[in-house]
Amino acid sequence: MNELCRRYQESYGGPEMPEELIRHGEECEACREFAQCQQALRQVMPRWKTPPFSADFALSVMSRLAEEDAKPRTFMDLLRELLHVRLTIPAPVGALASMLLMFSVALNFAFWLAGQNLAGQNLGQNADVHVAENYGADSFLNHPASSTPAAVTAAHGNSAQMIDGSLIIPREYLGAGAFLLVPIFEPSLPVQEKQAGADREADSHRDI
Amino acid sequence: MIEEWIEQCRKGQTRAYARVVQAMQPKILGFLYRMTQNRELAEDLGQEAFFRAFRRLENYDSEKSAFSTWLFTIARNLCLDELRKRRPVQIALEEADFQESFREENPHRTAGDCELEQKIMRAVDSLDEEFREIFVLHEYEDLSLKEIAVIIGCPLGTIKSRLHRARLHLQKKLAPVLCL
Repeated sequence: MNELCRRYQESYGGPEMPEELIRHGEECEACREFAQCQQALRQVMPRWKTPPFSADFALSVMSRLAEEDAKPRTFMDLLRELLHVRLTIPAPVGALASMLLMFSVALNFAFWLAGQNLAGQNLGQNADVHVAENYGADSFLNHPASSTPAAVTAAHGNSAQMIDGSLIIPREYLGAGAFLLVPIFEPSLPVQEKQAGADREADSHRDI
Repeated sequence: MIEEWIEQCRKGQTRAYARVVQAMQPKILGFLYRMTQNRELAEDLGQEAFFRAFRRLENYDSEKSAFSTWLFTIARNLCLDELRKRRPVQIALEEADFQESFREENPHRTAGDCELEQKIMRAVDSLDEEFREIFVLHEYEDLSLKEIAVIIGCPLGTIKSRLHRARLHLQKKLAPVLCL
């Protein structure tokens, strides 16, 4: 499109066609047609009138405002007002906050998973407590519910038994779900023998 | 003057808003009518626009724009939402229904006027909303291109370009009326 035509179109509100464009139109038929058409369009468009609107439009707006003011506020209205609060947080800060939130959720999830595993271990511990309280150490060693079948467990503190093997962790059941790990200094000796030796030593002291 | 009334409204003088409504009503309703081509709908949307504007007066910043520009923005958003909902219904409107409703809304017009107006209405209606709103705001509501850019939230260049295309489209559509 010719620059003159474009300028004329942009100054659409102008009542008269610019002299410059009229002169150019005498030589250029396309521009003349375009300009005349635009002028005709400008004259035709105002023929579209709006219909008469309600005379009491302003009154209806004001009465609606008054009605709304008179209405008691519901819980939902208060909630809507609260939620309507606009937060103006810069985008980078918002992004950082979102990332931190996601990271903390992931971390929580990881801890939750770890907690689930610990809970599984506790179930095993509970089973051990059950065996120790109901069957005693003799039954404990080969009991299917025991979580640590290789361990030596003393149900009553004075009758620990030992199995041969590299991993020997004797523990004494103290009641109330608590076990005490018993240190063993001579794992090759049966605990009962150790106990018997200690008794003999005590007797000899008593004799003295 | 409108800005003074708005200031009074902010101070709690609700009655001042009646003056604002009366002053702005022709332009807002005119815009909404030319966008929806339905008088009742335009009045409903206009009422909602004035209502919302009053309820959100604390959000209006007189340093950013004039109250009229802000009000036009609210009315325009409401109108576009409504048009998106109603568009399929409007397209399905039969020719006879259209003429009947037009005559009901414009009882004082002559047959010739009605025919010309209907052609203009149809031509404007054939514009996409993004072009129509700019054309109506500039041509009928006498808003400057800068004001329109604020209302629509587009750069000035985009507004100019859309207005240009809208005029070319109307020129083609109304060619028989323009006696070319």
